[in-house]
Amino acid sequence: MLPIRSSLLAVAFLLALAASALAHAFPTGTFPPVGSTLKTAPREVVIDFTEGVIPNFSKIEVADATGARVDKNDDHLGPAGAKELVVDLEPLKPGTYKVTWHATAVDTHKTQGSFDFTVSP
Amino acid sequence: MNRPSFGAALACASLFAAHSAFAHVVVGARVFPVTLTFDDPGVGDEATLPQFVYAPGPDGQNEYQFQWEYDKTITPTTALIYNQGWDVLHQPGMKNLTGFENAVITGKWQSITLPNSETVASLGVMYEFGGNQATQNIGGDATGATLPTLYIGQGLGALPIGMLRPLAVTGELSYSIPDRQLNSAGDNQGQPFYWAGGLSLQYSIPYLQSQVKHFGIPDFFGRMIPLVEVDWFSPAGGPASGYPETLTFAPGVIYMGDTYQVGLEALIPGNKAAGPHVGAILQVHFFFDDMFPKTLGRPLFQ
Repeated sequence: MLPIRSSLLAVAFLLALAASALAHAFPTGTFPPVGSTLKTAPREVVIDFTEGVIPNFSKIEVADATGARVDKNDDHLGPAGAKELVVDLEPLKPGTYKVTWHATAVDTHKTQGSFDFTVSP
Repeated sequence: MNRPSFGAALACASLFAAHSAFAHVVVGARVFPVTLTFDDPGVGDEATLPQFVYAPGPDGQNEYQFQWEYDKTITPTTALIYNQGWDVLHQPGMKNLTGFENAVITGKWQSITLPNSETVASLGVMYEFGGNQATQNIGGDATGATLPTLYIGQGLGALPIGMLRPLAVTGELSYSIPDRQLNSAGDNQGQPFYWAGGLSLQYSIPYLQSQVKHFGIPDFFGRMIPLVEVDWFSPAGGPASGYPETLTFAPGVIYMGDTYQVGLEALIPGNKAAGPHVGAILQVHFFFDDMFPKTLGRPLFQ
């Protein structure tokens, strides 16, 4: 049973390391929420990530149904710090908007994604 | 082929498990998790430690497999993979048989990566080393084999129906070329030429919540990827005594942690040769590229 005993010790060691390790930056929450419909036009898009991101190598773009950019191209970190990326928006009209993002985590791993939200009339 | 008096199903179950190698891959917004019964379509720095397989056989016979694996990237798109296991075969009224599974080394090249279409494909060559008598006693092979292998992964994020966009499929197809071909008497410790494949259909709750619609699913359940894996083994022709065609279904779920994943699946025989009872597989897998991004988790050559 030596292989099992040795491996269980290794697992315990790895679990301890895994708990404190960095990882790819994936969204934990967004504003507007993914797929949501809002009655009031948002003034910014906020994405919270599982890990800190490097703002110079991370970006959020927002486009309307015609593909025209409606963000102010001013990506910056939010009040929550390195795990929160924000971009301000131009005044939005009712319609559906597409948010496209890519992020480089502080450990340099890259991730990307997109989602829609709608502003109701 | 020098196999013990266990059913062919157990032997084949051991065979496909020993040939499994695992990795996870991120392609655009899609995370292809580590599938449990066959390899996934990318390369990475990671390790499976451990994987338990419970494979009940006929007449109270049981097989317990304890497996491990290590993946090391050489460049960002190539890797070497080692996997093996240690098995216990239990027969009522008899002494348990134990031994190491055949060691398998895989060279793998992630040749196609298309983030925008969530497409990934790899080519690989596995080599299974011949085993000693203890390995043969637990259903392993005396002689080695080379297996050219194709791996594919396709996320379905482009589907027009939002709730279907979290779906993804992955697959693997191998052709085994034995070092020594099994003879018609089945007594020369050879192996047959054979095909082996796997297919998975996955539904990613993380993808649903982050790409389609956030339903406010609690974090624990929001990290789940339910999936079904199907494994198939078939001799390619020639003598194949002791190597029947088998089909196994493996429904289950994978929990995606930030730096590890845990998977649990049932092993449901799809034909008589695949065994008489439902088994189970449990896997803990660590992502070294996330845990040690500046040392152990980076390619040897960038």
